[in-house]
Amino acid sequence: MEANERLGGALRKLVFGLLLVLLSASSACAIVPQNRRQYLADPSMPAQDDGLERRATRKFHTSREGAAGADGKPAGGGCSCGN
Amino acid sequence: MKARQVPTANRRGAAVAVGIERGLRAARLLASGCFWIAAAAHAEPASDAAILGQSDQGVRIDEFRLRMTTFYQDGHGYQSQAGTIAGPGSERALIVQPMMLVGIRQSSRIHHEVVIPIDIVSAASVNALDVISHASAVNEAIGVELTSRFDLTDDDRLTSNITWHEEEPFGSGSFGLGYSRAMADDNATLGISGQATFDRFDYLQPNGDRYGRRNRTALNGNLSFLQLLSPTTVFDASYGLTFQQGTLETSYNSVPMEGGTSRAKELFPHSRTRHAVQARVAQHLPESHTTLRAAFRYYTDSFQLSAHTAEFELHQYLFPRLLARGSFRYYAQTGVDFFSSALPLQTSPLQPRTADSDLAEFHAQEYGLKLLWLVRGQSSLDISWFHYSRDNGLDANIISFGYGGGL
Amino acid sequence: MRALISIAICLVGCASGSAVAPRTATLPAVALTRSDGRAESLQEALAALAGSVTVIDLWATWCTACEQERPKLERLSAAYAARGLRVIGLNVGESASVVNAYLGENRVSYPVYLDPDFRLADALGEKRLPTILVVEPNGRIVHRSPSLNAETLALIKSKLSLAQ
Repeated sequence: MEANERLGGALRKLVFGLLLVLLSASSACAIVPQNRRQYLADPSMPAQDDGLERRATRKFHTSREGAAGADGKPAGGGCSCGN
Repeated sequence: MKARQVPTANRRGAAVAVGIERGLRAARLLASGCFWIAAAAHAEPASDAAILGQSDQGVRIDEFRLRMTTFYQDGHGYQSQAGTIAGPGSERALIVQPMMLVGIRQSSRIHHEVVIPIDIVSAASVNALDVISHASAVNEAIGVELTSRFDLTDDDRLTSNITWHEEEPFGSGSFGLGYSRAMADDNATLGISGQATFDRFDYLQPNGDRYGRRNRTALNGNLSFLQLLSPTTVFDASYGLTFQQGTLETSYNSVPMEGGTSRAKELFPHSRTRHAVQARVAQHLPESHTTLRAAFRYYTDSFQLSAHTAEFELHQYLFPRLLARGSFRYYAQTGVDFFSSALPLQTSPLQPRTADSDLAEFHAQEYGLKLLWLVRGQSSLDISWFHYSRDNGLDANIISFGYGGGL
Repeated sequence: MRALISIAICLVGCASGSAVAPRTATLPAVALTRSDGRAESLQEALAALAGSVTVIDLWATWCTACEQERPKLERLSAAYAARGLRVIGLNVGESASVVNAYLGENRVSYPVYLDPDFRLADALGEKRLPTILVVEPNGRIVHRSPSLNAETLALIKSKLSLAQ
């Protein structure tokens, strides 16, 4: 029970902290017209990330570390790599 | 035979007749030429289908990528039997991972992506069974992943994912669904997805014996949010929840017992709940052709393992078509609460225990460099190198080559 | 509950508002430069081309959807230029050096004009790429579309007084 309470408390703090970031981000929200997104389409920006490269590094990290998830991909199972 | 003599008056008439005939022939030629010119002028332009490209529409490949990644790792872990009974064993291994991605455009609103990853793992010792699960020192694995995207409207997108993975004593199948909604002129996107993974594998023992087959399942859900903060800034955050159940331990792993004369089988709890939260930001600096990226993730699970991950990247254009990337990643995790490198002799055989170095308490650092050459059009060629180091005795060098892009 | 309310406020704050300006019915008189550096307004360009119907393609080098439209516009221009159709490319938001580098690698047979500061695009009320405009000789915009599709092509042909 104590471990669960710690887990819940840590999660609540983290979620609220994240929301503060989101709120401050929302106050800085700018509507970027679609024809002004040339920099967002740059190869160095996230929208252009190489999916195969991300897959390879994710596979390495989840095989050699205990943490996984929060990247939109399944966390757990799928291989005999101990994930 | 003598030539026939023709009277003078008839010769003049014949010449006129020839002239008239030649004139008529020329007129016929001119008339036919005019006809064809006129016909060409009034010819129908290309059909609508040809203009719009519908004659070659339909299913076509619009993206192709190849990547070859090699991982060379060396270290020691107590779960490995490639050492003394009580001591850590070798985790040295070479992993070669070719991958291919094919993008298939079925229509303006339906797109498919097929990824085929192959893993070829070879260990320095047949006893390093943390990496391989076969008597030989080489393990091969192959998978296929199909991700489909359906644009229901300009703002709503549905995705589906089916994965199959096969390696020597292990098979896995997975399927998932996702939905995303774009808001405020695509300035914000909210997404939700779920995935179910089913694993089936031989129940190998530390001595290599097989005791039937075991199963495990993983149910995963994700929430994501992306926001354009400016024409040069992107922020995204996501949360992932995973619930696993079944035989979760790596059955051929073992744990040294106190006294140094024997080892016990690894044993995990039958379920595991995992939480992860991540936030990322990317900022492009047009004046210097630089992009800065940062990411942070917090993870915690019911095994009492919690971890922090911080990543930083600097992308810099060296030339208009040559992009360099430097990266640094810091990772710190607490160990699971049943980790032990010397299990007390009186430990109950039903009590969870592990000596897996991946689940111990450690800090890890990774730094890397990548060069990306933007070839003509949407294609690119890249080479990268990373060095990963854990303070509990694992080092790895990763080299990767990639080619491909849009077609 | 506090977290849910925060999320809702955040999402509403970000999702509210639309920056789309009103669309104009006729071509604004905005001076542009051609990709070869000559400065002239779009009206002067249309007058010089003396076409009966003009198709204007708003595009950018970084826009992958624009890249898919370009071959269609090339075929359209080749098919109907003799019937009085004129096709003009209007690059939005990029410098001459970037556009000319692109044109050096990709053959574009129709004239390309530059709108590096978004003056004409904003005056047109257009925020999306690509955008296809169909313009009558008097400058009246009779059709707007995100791509050269069957509906747009049918309208062009009707304006050129061709049988469907």
